[in-house]
Amino acid sequence: MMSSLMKRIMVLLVSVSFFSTYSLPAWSGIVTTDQLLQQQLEVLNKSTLAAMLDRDDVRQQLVERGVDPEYAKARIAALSDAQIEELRDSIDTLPAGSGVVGILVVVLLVLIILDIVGVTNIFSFIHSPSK
Amino acid sequence: MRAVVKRGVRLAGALCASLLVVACAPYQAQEADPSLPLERSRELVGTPFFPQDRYQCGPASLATVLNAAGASVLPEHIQPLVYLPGNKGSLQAEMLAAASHYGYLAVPVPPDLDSLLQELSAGRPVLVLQNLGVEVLPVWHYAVVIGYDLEQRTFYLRSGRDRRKVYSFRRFLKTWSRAAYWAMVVVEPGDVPVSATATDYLKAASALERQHKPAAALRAYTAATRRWPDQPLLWAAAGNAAYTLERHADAEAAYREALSLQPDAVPIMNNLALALAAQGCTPTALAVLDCAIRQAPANTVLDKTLNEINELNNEAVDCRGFTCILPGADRQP
Repeated sequence: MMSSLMKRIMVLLVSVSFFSTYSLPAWSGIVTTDQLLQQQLEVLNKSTLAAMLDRDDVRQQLVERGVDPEYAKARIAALSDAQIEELRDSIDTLPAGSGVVGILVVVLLVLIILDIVGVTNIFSFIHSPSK
Repeated sequence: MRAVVKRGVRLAGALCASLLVVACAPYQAQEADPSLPLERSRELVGTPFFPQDRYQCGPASLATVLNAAGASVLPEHIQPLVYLPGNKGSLQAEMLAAASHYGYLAVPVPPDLDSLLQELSAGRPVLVLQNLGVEVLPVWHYAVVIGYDLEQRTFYLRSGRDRRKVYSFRRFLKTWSRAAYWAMVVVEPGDVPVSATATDYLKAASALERQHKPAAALRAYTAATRRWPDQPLLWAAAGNAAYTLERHADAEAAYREALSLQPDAVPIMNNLALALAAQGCTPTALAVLDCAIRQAPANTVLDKTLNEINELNNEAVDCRGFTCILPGADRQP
């Protein structure tokens, strides 16, 4: 049975370690440029914790997709709040430039389609009505 | 048999036609604005070339524009900063953010032909996103445009493993239009791209602050205030960078400039109050904060600032005053 004092110490330790993961600078109180860009007074009242949770969410999404955890931290730190928002829900639907090599996939798909409608007869595993 | 083949050909034809329709839909033929002061042709032959590895057009093209701006980086160093293995590619937001790791600015180029040509004419290679496929089957690719010829109507790109890929205007614009004409340039802080907008430049420079490079950020914002002297946000951003460097007098000057352009900007008043208090000008700081609180009475950030100022309580001479200008109110005599 944890005393309320112990509980409070635990909360403090957890929040300190959480904050130190992101190495917050000493509170200076100035409205940051990111916040100025959002131009909303409500932003000034927005919970810092909520913003950090968003960042943590995207950081995890990067790690899940194969990014080294240390680099994931650095990559998140470089993104603005607006960019974090954009990525958080759309990371798999946004364009990911990969290069010309990908074009082979397109050619393959077109050939498969042509096979299906019976114009070509390339793949034995495709059974079209004309065969 | 022949009837079946005919039907198959018709189906395939319909499919291809429908793909073509989808592909043609967003593309609008474009001409360069004849009144723009452009070189008739330009090719930035000194632009470095990094042939890309599989899926690595992001790192390769970023290395190209970063080196062109003066950095010394290889694609393999950039790769862990932009490449997303699960998605086998690099996202645009991370392409923009990567330059800040090296202390450079990545600035979006307005999504139109004239802006692209302006940048090239001014001597800056442009990193573009292309869709080499079609709308329904996109093939996303980053490349660097290094030149153009208005007579030949051609573009020259460093692309994939091609040191010099030649595109007709028409074909390039098709691939670029399907990527919503997305483009960016990389510059040293202190340089402002010819086509840049104030807002895009401000967003780009704020990435340097996120990277804890306030000196570079300050150089960028200062250059921006010279180019766009009537943008309060740019002055405020310069103030923030100066404040982070503990150059409180410079911060104060920048914030005052911002407020002269936008007297009711409560967040900027907050920051000015802190810059004043840091120099020991507590009475003026409190006057500024009072002005802010009158316009935003229930604001917790202003309350915290008020507490901090009251705790500092230094005394200094040589403090300028502050005139509160409330929106809609007559000025005090």
